Amino acid sequence: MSKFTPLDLQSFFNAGREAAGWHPALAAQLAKLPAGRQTFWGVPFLLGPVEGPSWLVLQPGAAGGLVTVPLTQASPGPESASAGGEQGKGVSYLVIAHFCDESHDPQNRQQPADYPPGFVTRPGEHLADYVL
Amino acid sequence: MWGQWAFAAQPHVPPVPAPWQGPYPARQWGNYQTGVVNGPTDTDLRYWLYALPNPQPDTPLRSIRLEARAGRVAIAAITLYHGATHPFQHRRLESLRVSTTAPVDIGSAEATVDLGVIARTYAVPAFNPDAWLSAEVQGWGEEPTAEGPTHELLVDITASPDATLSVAGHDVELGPAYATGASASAGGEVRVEILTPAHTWLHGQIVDAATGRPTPARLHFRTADGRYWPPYGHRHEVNDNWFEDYGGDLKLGSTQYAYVDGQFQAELPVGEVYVEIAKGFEYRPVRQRLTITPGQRELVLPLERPLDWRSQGWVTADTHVHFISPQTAWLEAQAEGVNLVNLLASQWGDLFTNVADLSGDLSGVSHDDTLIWVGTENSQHLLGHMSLLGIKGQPVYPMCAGGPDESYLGDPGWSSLAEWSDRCREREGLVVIPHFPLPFCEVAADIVLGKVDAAEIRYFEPGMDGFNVREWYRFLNLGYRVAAVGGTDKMWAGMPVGGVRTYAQLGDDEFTFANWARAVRAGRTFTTSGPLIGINVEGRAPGDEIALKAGGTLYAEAWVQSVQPFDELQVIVNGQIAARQPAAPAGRETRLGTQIRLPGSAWVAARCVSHHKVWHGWPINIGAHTSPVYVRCGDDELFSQSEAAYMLTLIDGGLTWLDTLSIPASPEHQARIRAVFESAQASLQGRIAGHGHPQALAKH
Repeated sequence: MSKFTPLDLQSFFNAGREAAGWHPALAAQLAKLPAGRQTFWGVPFLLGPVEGPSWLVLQPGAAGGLVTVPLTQASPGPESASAGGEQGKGVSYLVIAHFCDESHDPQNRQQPADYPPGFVTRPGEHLADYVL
Repeated sequence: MWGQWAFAAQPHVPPVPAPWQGPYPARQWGNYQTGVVNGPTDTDLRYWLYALPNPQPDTPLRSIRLEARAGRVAIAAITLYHGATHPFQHRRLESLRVSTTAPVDIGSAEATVDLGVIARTYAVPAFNPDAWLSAEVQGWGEEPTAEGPTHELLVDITASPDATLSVAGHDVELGPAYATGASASAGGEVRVEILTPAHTWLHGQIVDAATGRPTPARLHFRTADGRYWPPYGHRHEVNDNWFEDYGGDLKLGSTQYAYVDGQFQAELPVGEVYVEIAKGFEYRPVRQRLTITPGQRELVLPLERPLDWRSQGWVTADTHVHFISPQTAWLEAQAEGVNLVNLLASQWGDLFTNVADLSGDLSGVSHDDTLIWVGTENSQHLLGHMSLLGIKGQPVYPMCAGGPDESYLGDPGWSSLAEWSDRCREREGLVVIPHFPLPFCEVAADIVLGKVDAAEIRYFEPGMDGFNVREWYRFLNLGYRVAAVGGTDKMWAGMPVGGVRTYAQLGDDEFTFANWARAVRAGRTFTTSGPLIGINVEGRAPGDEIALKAGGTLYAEAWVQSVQPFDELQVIVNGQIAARQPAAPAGRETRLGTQIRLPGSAWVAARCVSHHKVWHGWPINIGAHTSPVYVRCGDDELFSQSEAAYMLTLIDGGLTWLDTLSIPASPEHQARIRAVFESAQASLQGRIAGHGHPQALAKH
């Protein structure tokens, strides 16, 4: 059995590589992030395309603030387990490729330290929940 | 952004091994010397790869709920992982011996791993421990061996226990190797074995056996399978390219060493480990099999000193070292038993080296019977090179002239070597011809004019009758007195400080640069790549002159002591072997006494020869040569018409070059340089005429 089952999340992607809504320092780099079929640290991933919806963006209060991804019904990638429909079994880890925005607002302090704009968000800031 | 890491996620761009030998992307040579760089990317932005653990892997997962709490998060991909351990948590770097049923070529061996990084792939070193321990020459490297197709590779790897190593298309699971020490492909085509799985971090000392005190030395550890194992603070593969590594490492042939100040730390493998230690020519090199025990924290390695010529007034020196810092020169001098290092600033095209170390005085790092003085090597590609040692005050500039290789394109001829010599002596310096005699042009004129104090006699061939020795003999046979000194021209990590060195006899004088220079000018020297040698003629030492009314028979006694093997001790008269004494088998000491019949004036020296090599960057044989004892019989002058004609040819050549290819700085500069050649020419022609020979015709 293959060690990896990359999931195809294309149907869940809700945002492209447009700059709108992102911190300017990060927005300029979005287009350069890898796309398509990639392997990082030996783990294969099915990333979104260069054009069109590339990511599932989660944001509090927005329509995409809560998303549930089925693991037994989602289309598996070609490297998936040979046991059709059972790719959710025997999974020791879910390896998630993600990123977050940079600090926008120095007034939005959730930690005692004040992180200036342009730095990656302060340690311990609660950004999201991933629940199995 | 640099310095901002996640506690439980990896950036999608991993560190990757970088070959320090190149090829290098533009402006990346420095980064590649680290052996690891960030993977290629054209953005500072990263995907962060987080492995979310599933607490119930045996239960099918239905879904994952993703809910934002603050800010903005983008999910780019999710991969289900079916391994047993965290996919990104790798084991520490291990060396694996990979054995294959079919031969593989190191250069094209395709070894890959999925959940890990292969840091290096290299050949299994050929290592016969018993032969190594009993080798005749120890401490001076071994002949490099060529790599070819092999059935074994070494792979340094850091990987997850779930990783799969692929070699030549065959997969080997590393989990069993990590658990039991070995693993194999399904069909047995490839087997892997973890070498040296257990280690211990210990603190070590190299101590002088007589005093018990730590002493600097050159250190080499190797595993039972022959891999070099450096102490901490030293790289695993020494960069021995020109001007690329001026740290405390050395590579002699195929053997690598670390310079330590007597104390070191190392995480050594538990079990059988081999050590080699060397410290110059008076300490006996050590090769030893050690057994490192689990949890061992200390290691003391004694060094014995069977020879102590320092206590007899001899001091050692390297007349010619480049690039390393004064402090590094001090450490390496101490580790090689060298009392004086002449670190030379110079110019190489548009590159200027050690200029910031020039102080016009003894370097502030000098202490503990080890002196460092930064001088200059002044050079011209055709006229010659001249080392100006121990100059006080301002250096003699320009250091180089006349274009490449020494100075830059189109650089004019600013100076003769003779002028550099005069300015050096005005500032109390010593004038040495490095790597005598090349380049060989004005050097001949300068010796004739008495502008040279000594010459580096350093290219020792098996019989000691190589080019540089023979050229030196020409001048001696013409009656010119040029002391022999030893210097390495160290420009890379493949040359040890003092690999060829000068021994100078100071007598009762205090060891200062001035007294050392005085001893060199007086010819109280020998040059050596290992043996310590001496000669007396009627009780007189090298540099002395014996005055006789006429020819006669004199008694010469020579001796040699060496921690390295040698073949024969010889007494040389006017360049010919007058007497010889073979070394006893495995002998390290011999003496020779002989009557020598001299019909007229002569020079007498001793030399020692060996067929054994020392694997410097320019490999040479073990050997030594004293400066001469001079014998003057009445008015008889040492002279050779053929040698004089030879020197005139060189001088004539210099004048030809000045008139045809040189780039004059000005008519005045050119005239001053010509005057040096013309003056030497006149001197030689006068001597030729004075000996009743027709005056040699010259074009100029």
